[in-house]
Amino acid sequence: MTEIVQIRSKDRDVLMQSLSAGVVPRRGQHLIQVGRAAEVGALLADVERIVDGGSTVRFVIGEYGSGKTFFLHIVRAIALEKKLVTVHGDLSPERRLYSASGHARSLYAELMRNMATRSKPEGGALASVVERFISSAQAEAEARKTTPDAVIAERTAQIQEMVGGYDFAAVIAAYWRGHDAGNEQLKQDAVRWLRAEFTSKTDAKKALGVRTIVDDETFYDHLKLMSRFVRLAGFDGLFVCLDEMVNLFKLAHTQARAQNYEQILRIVNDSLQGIAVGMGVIFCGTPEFLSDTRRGCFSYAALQSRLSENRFATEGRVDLKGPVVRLERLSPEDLYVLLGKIRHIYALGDPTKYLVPDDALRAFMQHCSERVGDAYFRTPRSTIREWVNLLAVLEQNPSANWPTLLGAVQIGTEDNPDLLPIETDAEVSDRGSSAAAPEKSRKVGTANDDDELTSFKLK
Amino acid sequence: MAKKTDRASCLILLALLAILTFAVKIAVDWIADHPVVSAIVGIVALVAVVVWSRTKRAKITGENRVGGSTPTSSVAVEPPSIVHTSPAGVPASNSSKRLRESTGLRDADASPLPKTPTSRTDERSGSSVRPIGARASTVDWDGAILVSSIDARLVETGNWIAPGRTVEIHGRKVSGGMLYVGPKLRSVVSSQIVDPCLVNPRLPATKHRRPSTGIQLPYWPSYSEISDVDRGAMLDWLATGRSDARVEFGFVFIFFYGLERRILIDAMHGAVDLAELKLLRDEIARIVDLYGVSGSVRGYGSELRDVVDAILAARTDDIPAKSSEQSEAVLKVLLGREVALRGTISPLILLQLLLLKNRQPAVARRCPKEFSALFAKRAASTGLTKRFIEVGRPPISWRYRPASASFGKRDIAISVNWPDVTTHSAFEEAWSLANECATSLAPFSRFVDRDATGRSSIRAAALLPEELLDHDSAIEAGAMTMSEMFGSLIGSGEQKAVAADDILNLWQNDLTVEKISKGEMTQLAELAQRLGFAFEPDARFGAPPLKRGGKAIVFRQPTESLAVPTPGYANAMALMQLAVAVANSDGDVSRAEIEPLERQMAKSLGLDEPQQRRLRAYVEWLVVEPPTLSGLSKKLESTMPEQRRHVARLLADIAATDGTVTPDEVKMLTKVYKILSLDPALVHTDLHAAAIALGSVEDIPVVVAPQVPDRSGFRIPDPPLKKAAVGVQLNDAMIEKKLRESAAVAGILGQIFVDSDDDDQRPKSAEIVPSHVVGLDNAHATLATRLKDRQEWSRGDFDDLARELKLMPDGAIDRINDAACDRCGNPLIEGDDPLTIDVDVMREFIP
Repeated sequence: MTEIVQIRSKDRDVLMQSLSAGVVPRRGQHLIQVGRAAEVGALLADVERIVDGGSTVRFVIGEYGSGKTFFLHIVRAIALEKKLVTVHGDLSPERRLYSASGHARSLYAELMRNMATRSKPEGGALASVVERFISSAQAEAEARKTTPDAVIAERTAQIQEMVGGYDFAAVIAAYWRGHDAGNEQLKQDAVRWLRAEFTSKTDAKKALGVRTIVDDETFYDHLKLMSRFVRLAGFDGLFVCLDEMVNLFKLAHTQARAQNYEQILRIVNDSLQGIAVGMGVIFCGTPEFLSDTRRGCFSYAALQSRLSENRFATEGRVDLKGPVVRLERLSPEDLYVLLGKIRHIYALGDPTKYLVPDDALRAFMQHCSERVGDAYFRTPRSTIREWVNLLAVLEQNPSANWPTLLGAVQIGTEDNPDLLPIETDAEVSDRGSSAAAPEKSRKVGTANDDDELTSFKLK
Repeated sequence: MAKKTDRASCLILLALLAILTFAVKIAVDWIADHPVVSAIVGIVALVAVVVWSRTKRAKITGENRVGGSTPTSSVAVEPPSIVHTSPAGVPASNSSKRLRESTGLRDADASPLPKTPTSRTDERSGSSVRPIGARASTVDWDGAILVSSIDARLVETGNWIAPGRTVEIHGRKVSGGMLYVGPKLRSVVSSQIVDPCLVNPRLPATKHRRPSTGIQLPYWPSYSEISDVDRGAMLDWLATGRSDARVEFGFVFIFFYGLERRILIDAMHGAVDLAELKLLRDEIARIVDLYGVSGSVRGYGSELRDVVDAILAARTDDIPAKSSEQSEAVLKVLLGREVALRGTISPLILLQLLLLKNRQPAVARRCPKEFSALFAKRAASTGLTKRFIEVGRPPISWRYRPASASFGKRDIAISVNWPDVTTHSAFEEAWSLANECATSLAPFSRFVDRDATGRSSIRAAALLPEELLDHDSAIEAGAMTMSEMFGSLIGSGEQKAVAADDILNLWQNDLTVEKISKGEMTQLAELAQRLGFAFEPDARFGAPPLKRGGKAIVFRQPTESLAVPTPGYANAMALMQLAVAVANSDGDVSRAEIEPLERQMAKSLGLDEPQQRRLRAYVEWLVVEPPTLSGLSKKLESTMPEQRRHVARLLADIAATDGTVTPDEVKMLTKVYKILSLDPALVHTDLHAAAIALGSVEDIPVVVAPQVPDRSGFRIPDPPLKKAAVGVQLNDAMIEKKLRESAAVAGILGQIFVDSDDDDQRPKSAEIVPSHVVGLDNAHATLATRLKDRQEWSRGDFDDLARELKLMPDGAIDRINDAACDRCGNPLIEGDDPLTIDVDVMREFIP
């Protein structure tokens, strides 16, 4: 905490903006990372295995507010640093792994939009990756005195035999043609195809002359294709981060849930058997997503047997070789260190410019614990937000003294959204196709559910 | 009923279990050797337990449902009336209770404060504090139901000086009203504290005027607590129309506290009419304008203004400001009201909300008009505007943090019964639609960024997505001219040969510009296609660009035809080019000679109707501007010998197709064979083989003498299925066979010919300095060095620079950033458009 490292004011602003909005910052996470050395180490090993052409799968499991998303972004930053390409996305009622109504395509589109490389960590790097691939083909063509088309065809030959690979290669070639002929439209269409933004095959054929599009059925096949492609483009592999997996747990339709878990099983199997090349997948979710035997992963027997933890890894013994990584909540001590780090960043790494003394950290925590009890360090989101706000006020009003302002800090308890009554919007679309889903009847607040099994009333 | 039945069945089962257990216990002596009986007992017991537990769970769920959330729609249909929560603790009306339960206000109810039995001590006055939010209150205004988390018992409308009224305080005439004047006004949270906004005329205030500068008020000022001198100054400020810009902001805040109280307490409980609400809004806006230099005044002021706007928006279409300046809450209310009352949604307001909630793309800044027009069109065409209709959406709710200490420094939750569109799944779809629109407009926006004056030119129109072609009148004028021009070029026919200049002039009137770039050519072709026209040569399909002084063929083409060549078409093009080149060696290419070949080719290579049209136009162009074989040799050298041999055979076949081989053709072939580095003697072998093959497919009777019409004899009937051979007849089957055989060759030809005229079109490479940057090759190093010139690059300029160096822009950024990360730990180029260069990294990266 006392080392003097220059922190760029740009980084600071981005960090503070995100923290005060209660979201995980997109850069500079390492500046506020606290603890979790073993877990980070395990994921680092994963990243290295991907670099060597291996494949990995991880389930990061933690309670609401335990910092799953933050952890995910730290790991993502590591992966980027190791020259992997990362894609990340949150599952939602409209974005799932498997669906028949475009929801998987929409997850794929989200992932591709968020594609990041080390030099473009904030996302939107798909075009960069494609251009990296083509420029290297161009360079090789120049060296071998042949045409870039030929080199591109040669290099994409090995992915052509994979599912959807032929059209994938055609689209990459179209991108090059578009660039070569100054045809912006063609380039755009190629990127749109890769981003799964084409929803009809007719449109895709008209624009690019290909027969297929990325759709619900080929979601995972295209992820695999992409993982091969990024290696061809000179990166070391693809790292897929899927957050908010609890949305699968929330699916009310039994069959839809099972199909999604089946997709997870496919990914797990491919990874454990080493079929996928240079690809790692991380799933983030709450404990009920994993171990609920009725609606969680464990409701799917094949998945349960693969994800059950090492029986010897209990009572403090940790096995980080298994696919499940469990995150503990922050302790008050962790929070103390974290508040200190934020103060440190606010002063741009210069301890002489600290806005508040060490006492303020304790007083702040004391204040919070009086207001909301233990929850203040269990769900640090609002606690940190208020801390950042407090520092911001102090910086703008140097005359104000912190004990006065501290009295005015408002902290509210946070509700775990996963435990609130489940919104069933997504299911409205499924209603037509679905027969009876017994689970629905046990759900709370399914007011707009017309399933006959749910319509019994107690009077 | 169901509950009773369940309980009864449960009891019966339990009784059954008891009886069975008892029976077993008695019988256990003499049937101890009957394990089957005990097994049955066990199963029955298990079933009973399961049934009982399920019944219990269902019961719990059912109870939760009764007390759980209720769709808001049921509230919205209540008849419009003031549902004023009665002051003396009478329970709130049913509808307000339900609305409250269904909104986020539960948090306020459950906040820890009301739960603590002893009252909290305020750090400043030490008096007891009344909890707010313990009883939310509701008002129904013309169907718009507002809920706030403040207790309705607090409403004290006395002391309020209505707008326009004048009061006299300590000899000063304070006109305009809008403040609380009187001896007593309780603060919102505590009956012991005087509300800071209350101007109490009984409190002393100095009379003499003095400059109001140099006064320092505490962080939370209160009229009752400031000094006599300050009160005098504040009254002076009020009496002079509240417009002295240099006044201490504390006074502004004390006045502002009054407005805040009037809105959050009185107005939220229906005590303020619409006209006054608008006046209050204008006053807040005035204060924000006047004292906006202070961040606090601006911040709190605009937030309160948004609250008023949202209240207004919930009730009336008459919104004082433009939607583009509105806050998130106001936009949500506008949209929610529209959905609830009209079942549709205004795409422009939706877009505003989307842009407010997400990072704004550069397109929205550069061409907002086109962006919103495109979004509106696509939203309507995809049916997005109608998708938001849905009952049971949660109401719109947000929190406001009052500036006044009167509220105990707590947030106030406000909610409006209209559905919150952002919670609808279509909202996310709308954002991806907006993103798609931004992508479609990206080329146009870059063009506009580079050349703002060219906004309404044809060159700009060519970059617009097709939905917008008839959008803007200026652009429309351009596009119409284009459409008319093409129309007049082509006349009434399907296809016509014109001078290339006619087409080029549409794009670029400057005759000194010899050629327009390939990229621009593509844009022109795209635009033409959207208007239902096409021309050959078309660079998109692999032909060379139009040249001044040359010829071109304009033809009609359906707008939905392919914009990229299929492999079959590319092959057909190359073969036709060869065919015409060979046919041309006798100095005269007749259209009739080529046509059967063209038709066969179209059939065997699977070309659809638009492609056949295009091929016809292309051949027509080849005929008017016959190709030469020069320049091909270099390209052919890189191909394999056996491939060249294949090509040669195909050429010979084509030469022999018409049944006769002229000496010119042989001469030409000899030349070609030399170019292909093949033995010229092979020409004769190949021609011979071709002729034999031609004959062997089908014997055609040779015409000895033409039929002479002779009425005296009998007429020999026409041979079935054969037309009389007039002149040269091509053998269709033969051509088809040959073409199939040559499918492998065609691929190679495509490569050779497609870019044949391309070399001079490529941008001349800029001077490339040898790489002095670690981790980059020469071109990338040059690019990185050139970036030093400026700290900010527009995307268009950067793309130009990259093109000059023959680099792909996005790939180049990635390469350079990667190297910079390796070297300095941070990327060099940041942002999307414009790109910013990190000066520190640059200094370290390229010293």
